[in-house]
Amino acid sequence: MKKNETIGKEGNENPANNREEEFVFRFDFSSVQEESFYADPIVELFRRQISNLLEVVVLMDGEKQLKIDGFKFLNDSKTIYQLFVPGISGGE
Amino acid sequence: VGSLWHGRESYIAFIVRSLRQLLEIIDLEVQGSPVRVDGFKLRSVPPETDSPVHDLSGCLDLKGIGRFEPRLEYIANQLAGLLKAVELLSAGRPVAPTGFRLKKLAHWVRYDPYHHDPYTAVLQYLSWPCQTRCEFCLHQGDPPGTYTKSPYGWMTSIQEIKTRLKYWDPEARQSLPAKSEYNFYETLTHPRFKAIARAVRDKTRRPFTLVTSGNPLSTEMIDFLSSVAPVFLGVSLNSKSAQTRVQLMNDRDPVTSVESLARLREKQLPYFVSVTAFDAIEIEEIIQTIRWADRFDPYFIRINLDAHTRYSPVRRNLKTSMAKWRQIVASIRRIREDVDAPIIFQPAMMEERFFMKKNRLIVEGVVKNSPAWDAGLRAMDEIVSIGGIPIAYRTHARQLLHLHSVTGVDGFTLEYLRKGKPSRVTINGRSTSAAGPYRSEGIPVFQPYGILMRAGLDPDQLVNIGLLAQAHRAKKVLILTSELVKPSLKALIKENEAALAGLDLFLEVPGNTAHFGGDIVLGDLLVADDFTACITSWVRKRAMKPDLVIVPSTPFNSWGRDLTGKPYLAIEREASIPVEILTCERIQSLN
Repeated sequence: MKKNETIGKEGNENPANNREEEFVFRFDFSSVQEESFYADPIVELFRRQISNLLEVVVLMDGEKQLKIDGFKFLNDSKTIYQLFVPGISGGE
Repeated sequence: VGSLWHGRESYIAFIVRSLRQLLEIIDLEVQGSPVRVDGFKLRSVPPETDSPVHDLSGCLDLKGIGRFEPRLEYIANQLAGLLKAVELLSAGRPVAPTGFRLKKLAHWVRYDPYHHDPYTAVLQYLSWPCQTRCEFCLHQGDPPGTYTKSPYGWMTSIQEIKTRLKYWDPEARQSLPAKSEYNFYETLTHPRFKAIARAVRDKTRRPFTLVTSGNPLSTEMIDFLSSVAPVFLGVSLNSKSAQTRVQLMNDRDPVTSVESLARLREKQLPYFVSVTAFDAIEIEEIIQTIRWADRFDPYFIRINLDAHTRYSPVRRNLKTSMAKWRQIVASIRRIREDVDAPIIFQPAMMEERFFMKKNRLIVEGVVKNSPAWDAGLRAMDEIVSIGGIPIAYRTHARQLLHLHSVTGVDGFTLEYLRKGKPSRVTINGRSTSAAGPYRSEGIPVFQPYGILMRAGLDPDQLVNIGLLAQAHRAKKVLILTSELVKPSLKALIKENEAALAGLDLFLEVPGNTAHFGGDIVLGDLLVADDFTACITSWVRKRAMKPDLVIVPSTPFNSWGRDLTGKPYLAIEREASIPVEILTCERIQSLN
């Protein structure tokens, strides 16, 4: 598939007459932050998933906005992992 | 895999679900070509972080577009996170994706309150190198990573512009995600400008707002612009002297630029004149330029008080700049009565900060031959009542004048003070002369009946501060504001002390250091890191923590992102103090 073209010559730009291919919205990963807090790839995966989500949504409890700063796995209720600052609390 | 994980199947199922969901809306790419992924292997250790350099051509700047559509950044971050935990496979062979592409653009068309405007939605992407090269050009001071200094390039391909045009619905205010906000380059010099402008005109009757150095305004271009009217032009004149334009703007054809004003008047194309009060232009020359431009009936004349970031070749400190701006505003105010065209200053609050009673309903200007002009209202008149209703704040006056104008209210009384002396006029909306430049339609600027008055502060904002404090049970409230707004906010609080009874209020101005630096004083250009630094320093100096910090909404977009893409929520996380946004109007805006 060809990449997006650049400037061409002056022509009829009416979209109704436009049979050209659409511009493809393409993105690369180079600007993605690579910082990892936890060496364990599973913990880090979930930390990233949740913290990414909190950059675009606010979790609610009824009408109340929840402010989340950590998480724990359902099978280990004692260990709390921080979302935005490296660290673990509780557990061993 | 991680020792804590006892339910390996659940973990794998989670990854499968995540990948499947993502691959429903995107295709992965390796070095620019799409790749089909059909499996994965779990990694025991994360991959090397150094990714090979790859070709960015044709890619969009994720950070730039992510400000307007952070869900794209979310997708990229999710994928990057998954790729640390799994190795993707295509027909059994490992693949290392370098990016992704959107499957269906129609999924990404969204409402934006400003996307009824042809410039914001489409025409801005025609930005093209100027034929002039101004010594005071603000783009010289763009911080690294911003639009013009992006490694992805700042010019938009014609195919992208046409695709954006295709998906734009001006009436529904829907379009593809924007990718820039502060984009002031020429559009008239773009080789496809005319064809795109015609196609945009086929979609909407809304006015095109276009800013130009004046250099492209040949007779032929003005004829073309007339053919796609309504058009509202901003002509960056700066000086009427051809010699000054050559020296400071590197204008190779200053005569065309300077003579364009007469041609625009002849063709009855509405326009405003912009004059940047740059150090190298004497104030007397600026005044001569204003007087000269006034002969050609501009809609208004805007004086830009030039400021420079730390990246600009022009270096000034804020104290020196404030003294200089004060002197310029004082000199130009003196000639206001001799000039028909309204004279306005940019930044808007600068005149109020230096010379005016705070938060009053001062008319910034009255468009020549408008209903307000014909009635006798003039710049610096202070409105006290509209249609018999006493009004105390500009926001309320703007709302009432707007309501009157859209509902066709005619023949209402307006009481005002002129140099302290009470007077009244009757505004008759149907009495406009055909002489111009006033128009009741086709001007994308707030100007009901020809009255120019920009937004300001009002007591409703104090009520909102009180409500936010109440919600947080806060007593000590730190309000972060800007150098320009602080005196007006202080006056507003003093006049309305009862609204905030029981609260300990503290006002503080963050330095604009994290992103722009230099002598930038606009609060709208602050970033989240400026606010965090200010809170941290305030807490350290006072050895106490406020219960709540309130920051203005204007540096943040509808997703709560600042100019660098950082969300305002980060301020609270980093300062460890509750932070709330106070909704404010952008005072710089002319509409």
